[in-house]
Amino acid sequence: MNSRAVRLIAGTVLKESVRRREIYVLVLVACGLLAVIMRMDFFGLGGLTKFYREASLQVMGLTTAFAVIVLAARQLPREMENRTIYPLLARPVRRVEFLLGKLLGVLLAGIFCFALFMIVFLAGSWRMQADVPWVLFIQHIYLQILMLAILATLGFLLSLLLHTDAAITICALLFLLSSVSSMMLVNLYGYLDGFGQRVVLFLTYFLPQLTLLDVSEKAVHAEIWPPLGGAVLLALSAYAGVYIGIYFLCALALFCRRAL
Amino acid sequence: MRSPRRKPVRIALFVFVVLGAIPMLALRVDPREYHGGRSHDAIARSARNASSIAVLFGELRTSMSDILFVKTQVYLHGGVAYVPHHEAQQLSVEKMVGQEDAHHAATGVHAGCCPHHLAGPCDHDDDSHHCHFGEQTVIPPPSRDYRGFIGRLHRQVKPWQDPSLPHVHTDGTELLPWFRIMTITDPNYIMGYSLGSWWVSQHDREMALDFLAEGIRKNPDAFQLRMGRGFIQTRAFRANRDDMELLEHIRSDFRDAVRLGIAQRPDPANGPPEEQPGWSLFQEQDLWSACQMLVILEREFGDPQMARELAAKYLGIFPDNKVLANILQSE
Repeated sequence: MNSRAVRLIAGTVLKESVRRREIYVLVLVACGLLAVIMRMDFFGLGGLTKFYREASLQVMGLTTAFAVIVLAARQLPREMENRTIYPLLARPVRRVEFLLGKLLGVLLAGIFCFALFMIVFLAGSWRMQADVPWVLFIQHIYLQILMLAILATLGFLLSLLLHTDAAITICALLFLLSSVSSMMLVNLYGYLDGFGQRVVLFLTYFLPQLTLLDVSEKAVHAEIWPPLGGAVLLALSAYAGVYIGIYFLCALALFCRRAL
Repeated sequence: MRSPRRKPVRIALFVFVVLGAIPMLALRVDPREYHGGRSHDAIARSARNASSIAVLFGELRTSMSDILFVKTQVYLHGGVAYVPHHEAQQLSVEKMVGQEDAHHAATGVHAGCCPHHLAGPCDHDDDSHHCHFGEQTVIPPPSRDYRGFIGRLHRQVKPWQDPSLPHVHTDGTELLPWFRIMTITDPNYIMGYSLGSWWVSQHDREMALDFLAEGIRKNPDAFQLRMGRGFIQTRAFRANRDDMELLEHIRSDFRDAVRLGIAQRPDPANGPPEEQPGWSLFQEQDLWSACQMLVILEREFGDPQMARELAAKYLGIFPDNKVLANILQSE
């Protein structure tokens, strides 16, 4: 494995995304929303930090996920359309390295986006004199990065199978409906017969349950809930790792089979 | 030639403007033009929903306020999501507490000490931390969860506790932003005003009364809001029993509440009122409470003979009301 090549490709993706203005527009829009939230007067009472914390985490998660989905789903089709992939692959870079570099780059761009939000969020928390539940907060960020990796690899895979817009739409729907679909399957199960229950069970394990990688509710009510234990974090990492691995390998298989 | 690099920026700005415009437009819709959602009655809905624009944005608003109400329940339980009380009858302030606090109903003057007890009192020493149990959680317990490993992780990652254990109510202060947004989103959301004002009154009674006044201005026929104002002011009166002017305001609020409530109540000749369109169990129970309070206030601070007459009059309307019957017997 040529790690230098991976780093170079990742660096290029990151630089390109930082240079483009989408991320900044997203961050600006989100900051505008957060500023509105911070300025809201709730019966003249101060110290209402849960609402701010929840709104901020939701805005951050949503915006970063969309940025990563769009970025990931557009990487490969754009390289092929612009024919910029040919000089890259003409060098001694294997396709697996190329794809790994792209994944790392997209994730770094997502982390960059998250970092911008963090600065805004922490500044807001400091201004509101709100406590930050650091351990749960860091766990939340870590799990969100795992979720971004699932979305990025799924974006790669779908962009090789479908039109870019379709890939973006499916990824976005999977992300947005994750919590709802998870509970819908749970509720459906009780109403179904044997075959229906097997289908629901299959879907439960086939679809990544992205809601498992969102610990924001505990972070909001951090005064009640302790941070996640090491074993749970490990299990969640393994759970996310399985989907990241499967999607990445499928995308790689399709990418390797594609005649360029 | 336009740079293709600028296109995503324009799209993002366009999306932002459109997303920003939707709530703005929704807020411009006169709330009285539309009545929708589960929290409003069917007759009013069909009578008023003539404008397609009002229906479109009105539905958005009422659905949002219902969702926000569920959000307050999650906050109240420290993030634990219990199966939401979406049915209008289960949204009753009296129903929520009725099973455990029915016995308090006779204590009248002490009513309104608890957020879910606007229409019915309680005797908790600590307002913010009392326990209920047996309600169903949204995330199922292991015995009802087919998901195995995923289910176990779900219960670890999200705020969850065994529904058979007593669950604790948190300090409701953090609910206030949701009540404020709920009533901005849907100014006809009576529950938002009534429960929200109770929580506000824990911190600032004047602010709570202002909030209720806003609700009454936007919903002049909502008898529960006048009743809520009466209860909040009753607490102030308990601290200063010489304030006869305040007492008169309180009695006036309960009188108005009873008058409006009885006028709105469907004819019992057509069946139980709470089973008829446009009326729910929670309205019925709140009206009972308003009548009881008016009778008790009259008995304690007014004319006992008048109290008896009122009790007899309201017992004619609510023959099953044991509190009124007890008052009448005890005289």
